[in-house]
Amino acid sequence: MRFPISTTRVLASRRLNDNAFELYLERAPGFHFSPGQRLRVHWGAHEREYSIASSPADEHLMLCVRRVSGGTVSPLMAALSPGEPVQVSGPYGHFRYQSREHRAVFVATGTGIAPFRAMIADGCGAGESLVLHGIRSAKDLFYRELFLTGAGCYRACLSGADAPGGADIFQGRVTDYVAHHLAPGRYDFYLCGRQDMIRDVILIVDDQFSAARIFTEAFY
Amino acid sequence: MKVYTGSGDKGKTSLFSGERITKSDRRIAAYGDVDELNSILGMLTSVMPESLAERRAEVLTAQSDLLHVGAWLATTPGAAAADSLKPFDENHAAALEGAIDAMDAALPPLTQFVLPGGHMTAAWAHVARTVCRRAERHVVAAVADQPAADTTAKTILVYLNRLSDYLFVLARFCNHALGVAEARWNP
Repeated sequence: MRFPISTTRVLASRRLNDNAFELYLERAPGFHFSPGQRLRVHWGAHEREYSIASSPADEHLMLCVRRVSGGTVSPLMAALSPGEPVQVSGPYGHFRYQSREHRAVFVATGTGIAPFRAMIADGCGAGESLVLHGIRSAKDLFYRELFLTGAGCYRACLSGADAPGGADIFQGRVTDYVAHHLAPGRYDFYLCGRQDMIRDVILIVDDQFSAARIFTEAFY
Repeated sequence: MKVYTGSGDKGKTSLFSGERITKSDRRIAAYGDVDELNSILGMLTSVMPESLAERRAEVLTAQSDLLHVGAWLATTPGAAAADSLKPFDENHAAALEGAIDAMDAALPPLTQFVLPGGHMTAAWAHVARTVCRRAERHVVAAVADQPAADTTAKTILVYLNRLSDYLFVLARFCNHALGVAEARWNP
């Protein structure tokens, strides 16, 4: 299914770190989406899809974008100023929160955290979910306060050496946490990020959490 | 974008509704057949001449229908993921019935068994018909333990049954329209 392309405008842009930024866009009346769905950005002959990081309750749309060095679209998006037009369509995708039937484990790497920001902000799995955010360093800690208050449990999994202190900091990869620190149980895993992370988590889940359900959104 | 992920290397795969199941599961056999059928329909359309454009459009619609069928078969009934799926109703089977009736009106009466074959289009339609029948058998097995109230499963079974009928008539129609005599069975 393809949605018509429409023009929206930049409301604001906020730098998160050297490689990531938030882009706030006007939200057209009647634009409905579920947390976890994507917005397609049309830039000349190029198309890119980004998970919507804002809540459906917000008046605006917000994208959390990784600025790809040497990329075609993301560096141009990073340079956008308020008021500038952007061609978009959507929402796309079936990556959605399913139900509270089983405890949700949200696992992301980098800006793969975007759909989980939308879900937690919308109250999905409120108070009982686990958010695992795989990042390289403390500079990549996005949305920590939101997850600390909105999720049941939050762990920033730092693979680099400059891990700050805090009960919510885990020194290691998200796969280490799932393999060695997640209690036995029946979970719904939501995985978003690099394909190798998704594969590795799936293999661990197959071995250790046989009754789990897995929902994935891969970044390429 | 890499096509391979490696997450299925140990013999498991994910349903659309999230469960991890073995690739020998009956549901995988069922939608695997549906996938195979869809590929054969693709072969069929690729050999259809322009004079069969109307039939070709019907087959393309069937290919689209089968993607919806596969998605439903990959979703556990009642799962929240089913809300993302397009409803699969009886209109799809009804459309096939209309096409069957339209083709049948142009064909000579069938008085004896015909051998699968003839024009390339007819031959592929027969191959598709037999795979469709296999898909139907595997879907029956896959949904056998599902709730009786699962109306989508029933609708899919009706659809596959009707699609195999359509493909039989389509094979005859292709031979007739393209001037290739049907081979009769002489037991």
